[in-house]
Amino acid sequence: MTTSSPARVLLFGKLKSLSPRGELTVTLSADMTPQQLREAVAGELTTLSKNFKGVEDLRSSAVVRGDRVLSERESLGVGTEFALLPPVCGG
Amino acid sequence: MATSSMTKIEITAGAVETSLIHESLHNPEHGGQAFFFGAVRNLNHGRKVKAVSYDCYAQMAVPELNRIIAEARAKWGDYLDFVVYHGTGRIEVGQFSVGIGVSSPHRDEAFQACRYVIEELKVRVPIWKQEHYIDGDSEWLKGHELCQHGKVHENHRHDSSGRP
Repeated sequence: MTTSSPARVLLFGKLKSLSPRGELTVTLSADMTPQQLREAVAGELTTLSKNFKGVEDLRSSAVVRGDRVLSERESLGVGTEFALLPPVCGG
Repeated sequence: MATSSMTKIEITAGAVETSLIHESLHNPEHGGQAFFFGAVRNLNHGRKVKAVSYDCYAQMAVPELNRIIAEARAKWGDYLDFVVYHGTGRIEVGQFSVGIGVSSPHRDEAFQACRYVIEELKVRVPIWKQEHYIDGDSEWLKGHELCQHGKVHENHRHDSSGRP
């Protein structure tokens, strides 16, 4: 059985404005998928604001641990900090 | 004897100072230098732009730029020198948000590698921009998804904003 624990999720770009601190703390477990992390974040944001309408923005955002984008098929693995990266447009 | 190649990557607060990129390239074996400087422009899709705010996830941006530069060296030569600066925070129209310099013994590989770095940067490096308009409105620009969701990364090679 995998235990759940609190983890920081850093938000960037358009997502940053969804949370006053630009990050959230959500409860995650190592066997969760990137999609389940997005759902946990959506749940937290819905708790913060009943008018939350950013589900589509979350869906198009990559889940990153360290400096690596996680594939949709892999589990989150052990980590206390993740990042949600919306579509990029540098330059 | 050949010197080892040089890589310099900086994520700066505010606009990019282009002279720093020129000054960083000084390999006497290199006769060709190519540069790209991207500036904030005053019009996008018919809307008058006042400034652009850049957000960056530096913890991933720097490693990703290193990977892009390694790919460029594999394509055009491990002796190439690279300098990449990207600004963050609010940058006004006319100021530079990005600067890339590549030096090489000859011009061809410097041109090609410089073009490669800016094109890959735009679709792979975690940087976002929010345009601020003259009318007081602001908007985060659409970009390229890093998550796959079953899609092929090559599908996102072109800027969805329609910019040249």
